Amino acid sequence: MSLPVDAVDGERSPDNSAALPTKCHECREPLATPLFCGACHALLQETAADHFAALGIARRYEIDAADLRRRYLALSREVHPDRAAHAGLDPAAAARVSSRLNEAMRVLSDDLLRAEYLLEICGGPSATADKSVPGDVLTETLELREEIDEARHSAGSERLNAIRAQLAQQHAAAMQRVAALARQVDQGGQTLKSLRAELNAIKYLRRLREEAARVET
Amino acid sequence: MTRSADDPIVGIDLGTTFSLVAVFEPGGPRVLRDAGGEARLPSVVRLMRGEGGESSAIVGWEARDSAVEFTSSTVYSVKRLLGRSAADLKRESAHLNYSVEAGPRSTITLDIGGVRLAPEQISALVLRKLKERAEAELGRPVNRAVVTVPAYFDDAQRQATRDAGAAAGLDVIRIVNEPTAAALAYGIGARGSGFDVAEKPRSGPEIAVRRSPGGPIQLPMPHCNSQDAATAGDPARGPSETRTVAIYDLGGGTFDLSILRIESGVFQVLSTAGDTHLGGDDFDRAIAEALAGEIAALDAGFLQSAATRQALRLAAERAKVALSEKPSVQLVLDLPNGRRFSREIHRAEFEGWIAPLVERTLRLFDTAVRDAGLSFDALDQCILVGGSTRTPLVRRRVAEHFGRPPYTALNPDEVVALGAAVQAGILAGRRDDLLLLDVIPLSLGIETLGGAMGKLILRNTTIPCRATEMFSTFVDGQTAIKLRVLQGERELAEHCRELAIFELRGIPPMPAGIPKIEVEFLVDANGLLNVAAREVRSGVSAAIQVLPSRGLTRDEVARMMQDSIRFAREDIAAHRRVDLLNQVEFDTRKCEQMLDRLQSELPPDETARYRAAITQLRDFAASATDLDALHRALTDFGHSTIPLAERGIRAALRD
Repeated sequence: MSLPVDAVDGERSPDNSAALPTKCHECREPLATPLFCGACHALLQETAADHFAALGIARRYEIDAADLRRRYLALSREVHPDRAAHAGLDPAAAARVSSRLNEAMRVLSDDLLRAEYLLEICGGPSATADKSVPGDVLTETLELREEIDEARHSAGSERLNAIRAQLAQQHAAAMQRVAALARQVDQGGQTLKSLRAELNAIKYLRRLREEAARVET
Repeated sequence: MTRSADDPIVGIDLGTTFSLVAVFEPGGPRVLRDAGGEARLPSVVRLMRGEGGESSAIVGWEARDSAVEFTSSTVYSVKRLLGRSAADLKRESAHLNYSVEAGPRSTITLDIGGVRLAPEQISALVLRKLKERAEAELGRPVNRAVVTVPAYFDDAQRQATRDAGAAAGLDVIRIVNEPTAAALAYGIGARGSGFDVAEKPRSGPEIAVRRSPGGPIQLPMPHCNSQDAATAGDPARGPSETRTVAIYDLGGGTFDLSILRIESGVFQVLSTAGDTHLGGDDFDRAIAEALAGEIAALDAGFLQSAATRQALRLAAERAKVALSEKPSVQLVLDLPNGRRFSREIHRAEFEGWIAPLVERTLRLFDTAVRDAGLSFDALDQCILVGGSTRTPLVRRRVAEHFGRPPYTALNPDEVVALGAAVQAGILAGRRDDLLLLDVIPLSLGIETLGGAMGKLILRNTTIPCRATEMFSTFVDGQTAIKLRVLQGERELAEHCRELAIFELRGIPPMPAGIPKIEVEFLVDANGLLNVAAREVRSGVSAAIQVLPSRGLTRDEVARMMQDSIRFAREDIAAHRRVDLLNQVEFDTRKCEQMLDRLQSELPPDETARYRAAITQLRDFAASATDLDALHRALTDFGHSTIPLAERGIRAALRD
């Protein structure tokens, strides 16, 4: 099976894998991923490659999910340990490369994890270094937590369902803000700090949603 | 390829109640049958002790059919014990007809009429029987196998399955999850033979259905797109239609629910949920328990008779099977006091008894769908697998829950073995168009300070997967670090399953906190954990000593391969003693080093208390004969020195 090599060229943003090889050092064939060569099956063990490069896509928040999945499956077919014996690969090395692909896919196929990862590799502040949240998120969180507590003690499930719906709505809105800010990062915008704050806010929201989900009615 | 032709790989479904073997042939997978045409081999073993103390075993139908006569020497449902700890057994042992005791490292030893065996050895006897069947059929030695396990099996249970294979002389080259195997068979269009009779319940042992030997299975090719010449004749390379399916797998002893996406020959598991102690056996027990009161009214002491308990279990199983077809059934049981218990059971009554069990499976269905990030609407099909899905209540409740009738055209007994054979075909390079991407069913982590579970790999992560974590020392010159590896979803380490204690040795002596040890956790395609470590500064690879918390050591497996029946408890005890004494030496020395280091800041009475504890443990170890007591003493010592260790870490961080 041929690997999707062609579409990569020219799409990589310059900050992405400038230092990464685009041709196999063994057989000089173009590479779909810096991790291994689809032509000669050399395992290149490129540790410098980020998740985007590993799956051969540009370092952007905006992705084509179907394309990502197609690439992931095509690459997995080549390097999965089940194939190792026939492709003449060392099984342990194949497992390592395969787990790299799986991790890249896990992160990139999830909107939240992808935004967090993009922030990290673009040099944005980490969650431990920058705990700021936008505007009145903290007061809102406190109020919502109190409401969940009240709902826990009162019998009515109606109030609780309303809180859950409100949290789901807030979560969706926050994810939209994350997406908007991350797209600005794609365009070279200086929005890393605001993105950090929105991602922090989502962590609060997620915890609240878990709490609300745990309340029995 | 030529090698694989000479060296076959079989697919084995090692089930709680029945086991099967299948092979991959050019026409597709085929289940292998015994001389009577029966594919299923009961996972039942009867052990006998000869005059000279040597043991032998009878495996399969004969053992099953004579289970009442030889109650105390017959072992069934041993899969429920595989890879479990003695502590897990409290709940299980009441239902067993043989005595079970704690073996080394929390393992289990069965005592069957004086023959002492590990559960792995019982399973090995079943595997060996299947291996012989395959060798007879194929006319050449069979040394490699793909063996299926419940998706929800943890690391220890998977390891135990592999060990059982080794003890049977089979290299288990891949462990595949049962629902995943079923999906694979479904996806390539294999249904298993005789699905026309699959709807009918099987009879009990006395009137076992022995079908005539079936020919090779004709494989329909449902995904073959005839318009696409490049893919013609190759079912899985057909239209790139993506389907999302749920596999509802209710077997004899275990329940699994897996959600998969099937897309251009790639079978990707999105999530899995299950219960390794929920299956058809529990339906039998529900009947037996519901009737116990009525039976006791006729013969108060009937439970004292192991043979009667066994007979009741089998009668309950027959009643369950008959109730899949008939609205009512008569259960008859001869009692020890000579009276006879006879009772009509109506289906509705039976359904009332098992309803809580069936509801449990539906809650797990919800969990799996949620974990896959999907809704029920997004599922294209729900496929029923496992003999217990013949129960009408199961079918009805699944249909109601799923919102549509489930897919029941697969032979629920054979489809898992067929899938295992397909995976064998993939590994042998005969189907390079197919690929399985499975997940790890339970999160993996390590114990962190304070007894919390620090998750490193989350459940439902695609395997193979990898996580790394940095560790350092907290005492000057410390050359070893101990890590406790856990599996489970709970927040506290004590509520999770301890898989192993890893000891990293050979760390170059450096001041506390200076070494940087990168520990890599790699879960392979079998769902088995491998650990590697290296000291980053020096580049030295730290040697890892794996102390499995449950299960067998490599030596034990090797010995079983030589002699699967003979069992030398003394050897294992000696082995364990050496391990424990080493541990005492290591822990006390480490404690002394810490005391020396913290001399200036530790109150003298506290120092004296620790020194006394060290002396006490060493004295105890020197003369200990009871290894369990020594293990307890060692654990207590570990607990009592936690404040010291914490102080050591604080000191190391401060300096």
